Amino acid sequence: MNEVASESMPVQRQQHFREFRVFLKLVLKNPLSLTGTAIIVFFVVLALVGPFIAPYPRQAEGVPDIANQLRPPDWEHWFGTDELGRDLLSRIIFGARISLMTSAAVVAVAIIVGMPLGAIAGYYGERLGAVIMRITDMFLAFPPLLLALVVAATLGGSLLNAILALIITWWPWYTRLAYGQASATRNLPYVDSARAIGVGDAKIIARHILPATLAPILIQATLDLGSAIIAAAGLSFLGLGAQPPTPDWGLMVNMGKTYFLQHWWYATFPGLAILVLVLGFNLLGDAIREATDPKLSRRRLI
Amino acid sequence: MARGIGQYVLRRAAHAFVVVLGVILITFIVSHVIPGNPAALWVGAHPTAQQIQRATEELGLNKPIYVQFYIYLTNLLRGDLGVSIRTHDTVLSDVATGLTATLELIISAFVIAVVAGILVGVYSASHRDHVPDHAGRLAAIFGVSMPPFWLAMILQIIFSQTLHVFPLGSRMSIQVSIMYPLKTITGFNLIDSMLTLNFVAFGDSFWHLVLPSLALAAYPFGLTVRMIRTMMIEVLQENYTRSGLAWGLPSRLILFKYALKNAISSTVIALGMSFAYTLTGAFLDELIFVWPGLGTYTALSILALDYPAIMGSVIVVAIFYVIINLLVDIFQAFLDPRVTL
Repeated sequence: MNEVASESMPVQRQQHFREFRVFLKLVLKNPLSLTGTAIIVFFVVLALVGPFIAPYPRQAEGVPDIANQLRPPDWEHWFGTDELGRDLLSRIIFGARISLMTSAAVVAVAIIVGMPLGAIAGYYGERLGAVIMRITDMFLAFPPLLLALVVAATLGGSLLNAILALIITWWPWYTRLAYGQASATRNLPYVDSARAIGVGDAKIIARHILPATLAPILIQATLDLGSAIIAAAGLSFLGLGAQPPTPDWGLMVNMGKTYFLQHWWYATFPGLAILVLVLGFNLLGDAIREATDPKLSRRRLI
Repeated sequence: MARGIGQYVLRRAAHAFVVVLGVILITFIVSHVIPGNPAALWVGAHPTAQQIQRATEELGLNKPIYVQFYIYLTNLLRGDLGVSIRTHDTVLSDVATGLTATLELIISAFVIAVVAGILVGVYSASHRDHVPDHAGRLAAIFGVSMPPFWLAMILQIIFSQTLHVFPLGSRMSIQVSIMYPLKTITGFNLIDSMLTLNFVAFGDSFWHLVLPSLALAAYPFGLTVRMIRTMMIEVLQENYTRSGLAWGLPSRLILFKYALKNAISSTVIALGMSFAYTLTGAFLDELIFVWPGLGTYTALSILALDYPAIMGSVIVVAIFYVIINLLVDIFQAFLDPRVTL
């Protein structure tokens, strides 16, 4: 028993590593996922070096330029200017950081809260598992975005509150995912043998159950990073997210709503930025899912 | 077998009931426990200390939390969702007024999304990894990546402002509603105008429905394509589809008769999910197209911090959503009795 337990781990890890390489090859081979990766890298770089390359960094932070109100796109202002004369391109560049950090924070905290809960529910099963999963069901019973709307409206509009509201609606998805994975793992021979040689529950969950739930959760997280950007943009569009003069994309579309019929560029470009970045995450996530879904690749790999 | 399904329906219904109670509990907790002062919101801008004091007593906020929940729940069971701060009407009547307008929009968007989604999904799956598949997948990914409120505005710029093909918003144009007034029977404009043979109003209502439905359909369209494609690929790998091909059956017959039929229970799930997304998508969509529905009502309530209205409409929509999920599960059990095991 002892031998089985100690030897199964390195073998397993090797296998994980091999799977990861196969998966990496599949993703990089596909033109769609390659495009997605390129888009994400582009926006991450933009978020890092934004303040150095933006043509009007002070306007991006909110300083108005009244002489240039609502100018259409030209060589001076590639994406035009807003009602306070601020350069939209610079504001969109600064917005990349906000969007990426918002969605990363939402997804990361949702995983940190949701994954252990699901693993515990799946590992112990029975009463504790049932209680955790019933509570999860209640949160999942809200239509997407609706609970976030209510929480954000209650807390009042600010970027931090919007993030908090999205976390509250997002964690149960990871709990459900981890639960399914954990309850499938808990009676596998290597977990049984670990239990038989007297390893404690906490250690089993940390060393065996949680790692087993990680792969599907990371796939889901890739797709969710995109959805979280759209959801956060929806909240700021309603005034429940970042407040002016923050260069938040959703907020910019919201501000542009008043002017967009006469000044098309105002709402169009910030929205386009959302679309392209989310497209990047979805292209990558879709390819990863296609490559890892055993039902889809069943006949293909043989 | 019939008994199995009956028991399953009962069990699912009981589960749905518990979930609805949970939804009410969570909504209640959000409104009462999270920091923020409902009494101050109730009084409005620049409240005095006495006003807040009075509102606290009026709303029962000084009572213990479980007593408050009990009062909230019993009021709810009597159909009392409170009074809207913004409109000064009962929330229940406001919600009932908006519901049919929203349903008309949601259903037409849903039909567009599902019909287009199934066609593209099946076509995509049958040409897996070739040009039509890439195009179909790309269309689906665009659909789910588009911020819905932004798509709505872009459609307005292109089709209303520039091309003048479709109206900017609202359910009917003012001229038509004055010259050919519509009698309200069901609350659905398209049905009412047909029933009263008011064809001008029918055409006008239809014309107003096009852009909001298209904007709303994008996300569920993408979702449907994705799910239908995945499960069609799965079915197309089965031996019986291959045998069909070997026997020389026409591919349209194989795709739509044999393959899609065997994938029907997953199709139902796909439709249920698409409907759910249409439901919440309507909130922002209606606001932009000035569609006088539940979404506009909730969005305006949120902007005005109209607390009772927000809670009331959220609970109604959430209950609606739970019921849809329940129906999807039951329907699935009838199609595929293995589910009840």
